[in-house]
Amino acid sequence: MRKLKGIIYILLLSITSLIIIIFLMSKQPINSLYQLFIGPLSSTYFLGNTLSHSAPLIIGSVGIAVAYRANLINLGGDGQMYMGALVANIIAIKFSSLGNFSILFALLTASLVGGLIAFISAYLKVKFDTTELISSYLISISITYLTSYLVTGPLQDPNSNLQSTQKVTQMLTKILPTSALSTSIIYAIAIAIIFYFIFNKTKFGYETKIIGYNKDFARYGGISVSKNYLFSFTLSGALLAFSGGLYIFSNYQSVFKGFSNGLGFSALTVSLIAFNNPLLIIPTALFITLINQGSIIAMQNSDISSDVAILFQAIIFLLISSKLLLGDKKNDNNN
Amino acid sequence: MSNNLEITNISKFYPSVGVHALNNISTSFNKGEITAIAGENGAGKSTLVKILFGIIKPDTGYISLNNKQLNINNSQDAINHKLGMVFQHFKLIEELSVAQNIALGIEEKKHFLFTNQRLINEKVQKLIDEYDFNIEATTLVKRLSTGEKQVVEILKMLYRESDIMIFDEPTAVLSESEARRLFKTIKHLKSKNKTIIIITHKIKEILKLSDKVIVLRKGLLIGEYCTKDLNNESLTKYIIGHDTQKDENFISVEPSQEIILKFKNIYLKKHSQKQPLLNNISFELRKGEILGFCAVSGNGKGVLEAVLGGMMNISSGKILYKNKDISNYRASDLRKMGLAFVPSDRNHYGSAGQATLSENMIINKRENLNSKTKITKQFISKYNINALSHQKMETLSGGNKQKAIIAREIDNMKDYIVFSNPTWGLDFNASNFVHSKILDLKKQNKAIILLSSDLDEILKLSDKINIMFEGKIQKTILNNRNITKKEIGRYMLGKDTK
Repeated sequence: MRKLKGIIYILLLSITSLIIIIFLMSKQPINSLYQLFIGPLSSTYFLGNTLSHSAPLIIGSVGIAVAYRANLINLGGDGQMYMGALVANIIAIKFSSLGNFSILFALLTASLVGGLIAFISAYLKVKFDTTELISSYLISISITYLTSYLVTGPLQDPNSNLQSTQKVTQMLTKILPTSALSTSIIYAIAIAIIFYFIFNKTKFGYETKIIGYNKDFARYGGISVSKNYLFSFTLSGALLAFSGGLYIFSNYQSVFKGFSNGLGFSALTVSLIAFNNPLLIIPTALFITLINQGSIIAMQNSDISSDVAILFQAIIFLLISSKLLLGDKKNDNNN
Repeated sequence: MSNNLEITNISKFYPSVGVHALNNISTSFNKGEITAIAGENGAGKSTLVKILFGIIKPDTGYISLNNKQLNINNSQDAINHKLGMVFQHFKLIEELSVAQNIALGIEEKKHFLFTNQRLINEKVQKLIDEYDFNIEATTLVKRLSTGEKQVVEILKMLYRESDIMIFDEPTAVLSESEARRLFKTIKHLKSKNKTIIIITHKIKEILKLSDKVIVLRKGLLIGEYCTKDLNNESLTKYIIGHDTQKDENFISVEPSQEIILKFKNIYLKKHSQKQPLLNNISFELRKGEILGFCAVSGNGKGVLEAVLGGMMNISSGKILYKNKDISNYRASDLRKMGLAFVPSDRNHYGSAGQATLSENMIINKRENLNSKTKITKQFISKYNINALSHQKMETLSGGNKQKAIIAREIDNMKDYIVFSNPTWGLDFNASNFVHSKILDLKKQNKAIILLSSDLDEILKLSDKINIMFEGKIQKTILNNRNITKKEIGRYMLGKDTK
């Protein structure tokens, strides 16, 4: 409860600072604020797009939570998403004759690749006690450059003037005409609910939770901590890559340079705010997407930069990591 | 000699474990004297110095300096009153130089803003020369040996002009020669009329170094002695306590001949260390037997506990469970085999404080996840645990926590169970409960290993006592009820003969 109160303070404080910054920077602050907060909700078109953009973020955040519950931080989400999208794109085009199955096949392959990327970091941790936070981040950066090279080089669509790959032919069914909203949001919510049950009702969920609380107790009780690390982190990478692939079939059709655009880090913010609870991740991801989308609309219709969204997330991130408002005091009765 | 630092009626109670860490302690520390605070683990030594240094607040009582009552609320207050402390784990920044570490937080400024590093270096070097230390003010701390790092901690106190210096187990991390050098330094400090307080459980050091000894046992002040009136034996007796009445209710069940667990020539050595942690350990554990192990801390009892729990791998030797080789089993394999294990650190290894009681109860039987509440309720009623199944483990009292852990472990037991310091920090009733449970298990013909620092407990319960010293079993004694704690204490200090 104290934690929840802390999160609410943090959100209020972040929103207040955002408003102050906009008042300082904008010549027409009221309009900017309107565009930022109300813009994404002002028409079915904007609303549908916001919902659609939140789907990959929900899944990505669940992916971060899978690792974070075992006290592992997957800082490589961005690269895993980017590569996941590219793999999904390639496979979907290769097997386009399979119709809708090509989407399923593409997403599974993307998950496999993302899982493998994450597995490297987990393996290094288990074998050599390397910090997964650093290794996943470094690997992600290399993957990002590699993917960018492929997207703008060998795999670039020769018929397009954009720096992007060929478009996939199969897309997910749209459910709110004129907007981009598709069945992806349904899948995202379903995945969040499934993981809520995995976390709370399965042996794996229980073991991960105990490891996150106290890994020495877990080991003493007979839980194989290494196996769990390998599995959770691989699953985390797979979910991130899956979310990247899904983005292709819901919104973008192809991969372009800088596709993931910090979404892996947004996912980290979301699961931090939501205490790794998949059911809380759904509204939190919606809220963060709202600010992200709002910042784009505000940039188009007023005089502020879309960077305010990054600024906003940075403020939240700082406040959460400082733990000041979360009341995370260590007990001091260890005599 | 003037009375310098005085404490009056200091008490500290820990409700979460139900322990009086300190019970109405009054004593004084004199200028130009070395006072040792001696006692077994859990006697209250650390709590006492933490109170002096403002880390813990006492429930009652006060500290006074030259007859003036002090108001110490935190370490900064203590430092302001010229108190200094060298912790067992140094508080140094490795990447900074000796002088930077020493002046940290009280740097001399130049033009009100910039650190005057040259002046600081000069001041520190002067101190170093004055005390004849063998380090340079400008060396980075990470380049120093452990003993030299401790010197930096001492210099920190000198730089702050501390008059009262507290050392917490200062030789625990030092080599033999480094320790000798430390003693020289401490004697030098004494000659400069400082008040020196040392916590240690090493009897030799106390006798060699101190002028006065304050003995604590289970939170009580046992006495203050002039070191010159003490010898090895009398001090050991004060620290360990008098022999208690023999327990009349002891059930003598003769252990059967069936061997459950067998350790054969077990060695455990880490690459970085010269001395093996376990040195040729062999024993047999039989059905219906309680096998006791005792040792002064740092002599292998803790390592043996880790090996029994599958948390550490042995280097050579064989462990047999009913003639099956389990030498390389990890904790998870041992658990599947039916290991029951009550660890000494019930907060860190025995439970997860942030998890609920019921989540803690199914750690060995994780497939029962969805009936955890039911299982927990059975434990609660059978063992009279005063808690709710969805209560956070960290909110349970020490006694209830231990009852819960024992309930869980007995439930997982097949043939043998390991208890390590099972009554540490528990009050009289909870201790009795635990002891009666252990004797019950013996009656049920189970095999029991009891590792304990509490000699009364060892003598009360065990059929056979293994006394460990420097990683090996120094002596095995059949507990014929005629052994005295004094005798055991001597073996614990590494002596062979009477």
